[in-house]
Amino acid sequence: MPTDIVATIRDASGDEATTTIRVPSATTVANLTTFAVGWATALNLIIQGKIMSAFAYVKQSVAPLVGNAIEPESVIERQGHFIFLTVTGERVEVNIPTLAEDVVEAYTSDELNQADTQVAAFIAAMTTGIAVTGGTISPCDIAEGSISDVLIAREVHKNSGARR
Amino acid sequence: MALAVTLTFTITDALGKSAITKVRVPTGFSIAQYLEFGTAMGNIIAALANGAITDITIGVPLSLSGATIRAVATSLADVGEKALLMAQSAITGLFARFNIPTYDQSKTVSGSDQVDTTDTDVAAYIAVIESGVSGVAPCDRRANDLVDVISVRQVFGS
Repeated sequence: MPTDIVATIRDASGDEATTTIRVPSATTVANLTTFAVGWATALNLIIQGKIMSAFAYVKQSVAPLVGNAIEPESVIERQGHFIFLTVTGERVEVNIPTLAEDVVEAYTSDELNQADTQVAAFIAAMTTGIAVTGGTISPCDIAEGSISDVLIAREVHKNSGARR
Repeated sequence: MALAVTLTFTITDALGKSAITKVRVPTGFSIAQYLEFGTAMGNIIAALANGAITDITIGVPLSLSGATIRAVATSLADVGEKALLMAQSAITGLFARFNIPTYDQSKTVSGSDQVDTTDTDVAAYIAVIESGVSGVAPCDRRANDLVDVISVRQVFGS
């Protein structure tokens, strides 16, 4: 599946809209940037708005995932709610919909059992990162401040607003 | 301030409803490394969830600091005024469509809704669609090359 490059354009009223162009999925980040610069320069000449940003969206196959199946009791409204702390003191919230009930402390609270293997694995991945070929990728906040600790891990129920 | 790369995991439940989880990671890695991370984190999330991950998308911010773009929208800029560009794919019968908001109406042929493809700026944009930039060539949603822009006209709507 190709990579989408999406540019956001703002008009005189402050309203924004996007325009999308697709390039081959094997394009490197450096080449995506070079393309985006050339594309934006040409685009700017035929529009009246201001180009605010450009993002590349790469689709990833879910086929390699293990144990990735829909259980009959799954509901998106039941979520795992995590709050992490970054090295700069910022907070990062992550919600996981369709949380499995067996990771919650057995009927005594809404706290997630952080000793549970699956919960511990998620917290470790978020606080210390995941090894990839040639390095380790450590999750962060939007300003790239590295996540260092977990503050809260609990079960929540949120209204999705959807009916089936 | 640099913006992080965002991995968005879409999770679907037994009733067919979907919700998302976002994990942000630093810039500076290759697409292949982000894909590796996406698979590993996807497996960890799948083990915590009773639903299934049905989509993983990696959003990479691209720097436009090297581009020549206006600092402020002109007073005439309107996202409802658009150019609609149609391009022929290398596979006969397949096309790609591009909606371009805040289109500059001065580039429309007088008395019609056709965009003047002989205009220097329009021709330069068409060249990007047909020939790409620095070896990177646009494609259709099936990853086929785009070979020819066949229609460019002015449209309205937001």
